[in-house]
Amino acid sequence: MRPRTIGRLGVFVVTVAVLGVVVVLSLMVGRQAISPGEVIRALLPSATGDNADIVRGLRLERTVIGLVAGLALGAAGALMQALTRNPLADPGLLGVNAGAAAAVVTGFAFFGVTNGLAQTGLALAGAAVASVVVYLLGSGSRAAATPARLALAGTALTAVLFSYINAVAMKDQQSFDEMRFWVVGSVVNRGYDRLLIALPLIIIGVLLALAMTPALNALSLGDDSAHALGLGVGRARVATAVAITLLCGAATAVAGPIVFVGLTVPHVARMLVGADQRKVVPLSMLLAAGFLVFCDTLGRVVSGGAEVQAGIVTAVLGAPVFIALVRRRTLVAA
Amino acid sequence: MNSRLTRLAGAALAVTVSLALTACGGDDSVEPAASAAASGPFEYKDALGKDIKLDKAPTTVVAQSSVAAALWDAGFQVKGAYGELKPDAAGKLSYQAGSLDLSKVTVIGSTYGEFDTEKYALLNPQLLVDYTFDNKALWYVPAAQSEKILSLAPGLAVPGNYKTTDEAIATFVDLAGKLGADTAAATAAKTEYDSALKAVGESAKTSGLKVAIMSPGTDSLYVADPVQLPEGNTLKNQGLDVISPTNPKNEVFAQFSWEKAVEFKDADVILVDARTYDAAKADLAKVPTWANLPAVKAGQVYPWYAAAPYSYQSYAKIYTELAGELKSAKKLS
Repeated sequence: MRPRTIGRLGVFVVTVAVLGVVVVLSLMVGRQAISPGEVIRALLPSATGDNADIVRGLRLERTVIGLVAGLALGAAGALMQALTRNPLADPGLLGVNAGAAAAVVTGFAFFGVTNGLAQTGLALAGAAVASVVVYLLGSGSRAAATPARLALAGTALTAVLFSYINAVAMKDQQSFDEMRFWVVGSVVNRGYDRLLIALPLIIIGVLLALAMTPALNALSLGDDSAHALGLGVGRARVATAVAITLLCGAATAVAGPIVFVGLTVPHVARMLVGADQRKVVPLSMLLAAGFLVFCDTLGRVVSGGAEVQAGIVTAVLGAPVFIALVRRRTLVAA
Repeated sequence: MNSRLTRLAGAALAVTVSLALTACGGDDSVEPAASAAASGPFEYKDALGKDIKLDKAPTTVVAQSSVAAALWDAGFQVKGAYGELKPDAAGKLSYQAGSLDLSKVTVIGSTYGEFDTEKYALLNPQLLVDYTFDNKALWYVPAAQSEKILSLAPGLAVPGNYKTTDEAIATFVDLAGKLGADTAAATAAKTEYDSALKAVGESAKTSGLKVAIMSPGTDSLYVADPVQLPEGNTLKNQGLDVISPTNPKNEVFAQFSWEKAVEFKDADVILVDARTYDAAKADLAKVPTWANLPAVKAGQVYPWYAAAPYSYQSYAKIYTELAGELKSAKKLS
């Protein structure tokens, strides 16, 4: 019993250490070669000039946004897999990303909304509406919202919304330029103002997520068993869905739709600490934060020409990892 | 790739719109003579190497919007147009549509990928004109519909790339002439065009300004390679010092990480892509390596009318505006 506890504590310690290394790397590595000493000098609040613009202006902002968005996506992915008891669930599954993107694109194309605050509001509203619609579709008239029905409803809604987004985006050049960000996520130059708008929602989402973990453990036994254990199944499910919506909507508003982070990271977390959601959810947050920042850093230097968006790197790295996980063993259902 | 295509499409959009603007604002006395076609046969060797022979010069011509705009200024009025013809919220077409007058033109499609084959057929078209950028296909003719479209009338490809704006404009004036148009107005506008270019050359020489042509996006900085741009070469020929970015792939736009923006600090003037700059302006102000560029700090950022229609009229206006800007701009380093 004890060695296991230490082992699991060790997992968290190592994860935090790795996260620290990733953050340091993200400040050191970029398209412009700057020595470690100069990077440290550039981080001082009094520093000005090119290095300060690059390190403190560009890189630090990317790192902070990557950490927050990654953390939110990791938590959302873990919650979603637990909620739907579907190990292949991802933040796109419940239509949350699509809802957020559709709302922003609608605002931009038809009402000329370009303001960051308004766009974030739209993204969250879109995410929330999409979640509710999926939940209603999934619940149907009589049957309960089973994982399979929810997943199907989410997939259907996502398909509809992305067709809509594409149709609107094709309408004119300007909205298509703006749209690129809502197709592939990125943490470049998103601005602290957008992050500040989203941060309170992410904090609430994280607290709610952590509070729901014991209930999710019970839910993993199946609705009937959870019910027998005295859990308000419906209420737990709604609370979890609210947390997912907050986390995904806010993360999408800040960094755009980033794929495979919410899908892959929780599997790694479960491999490391088992199926206990009280450990899986926080570990997923840390791992996802590190993973997204790492992907962004890699994207800066991986190609000879331009940078590669973080959203593409997560897909390129995340997909094979995910396939390997699926093939290696029976997936640990959340 | 995606963004480059987008930019290219945007360029087309720009061309189209500028045409429309001119149409609305211009006086009607220089109405292009669309149907005053020459009676003789029409012969043209197009950019795809195809020999197009018609017994009579076609009167019902449909063209991609940028092409249509260039032909319009050259004196030939198309009957239909497709391409970037969607008006903005204020009901105006972009500068890219030039003087195209949509009240006289049937719109077959108003964005990339849109082409109403039925509407096109109903016009009884005799000729279709579009750019080719890959020497294989017509730019805005949707691949899935191209067989049907090209069965209704021959498709004539004009080159998408030119060395200079002179060469580009001459191509369209020549084509308009072959289509039977009276190109006198275009020839008259050439004088204005030439003197505008001379003015650019004079301010370039006296000021010694270094100029960069950019299309800044929040994700990356795109720097145009003047050697790949007709207007870039034309301006360089006038003695303007236009910065050439490192561009190993020989693309129109070299794409850079924003960290690399500090390498463009020697630019005294930055010409920014007029298609996208206004929308991105507020976000760009928050990008430190953009905001701290000397030219940006000094407010020496001016529009670059990317993909304006290739006509003496439109470029006379563009170069006159540029000459004025170069005159008032200060050398910063």
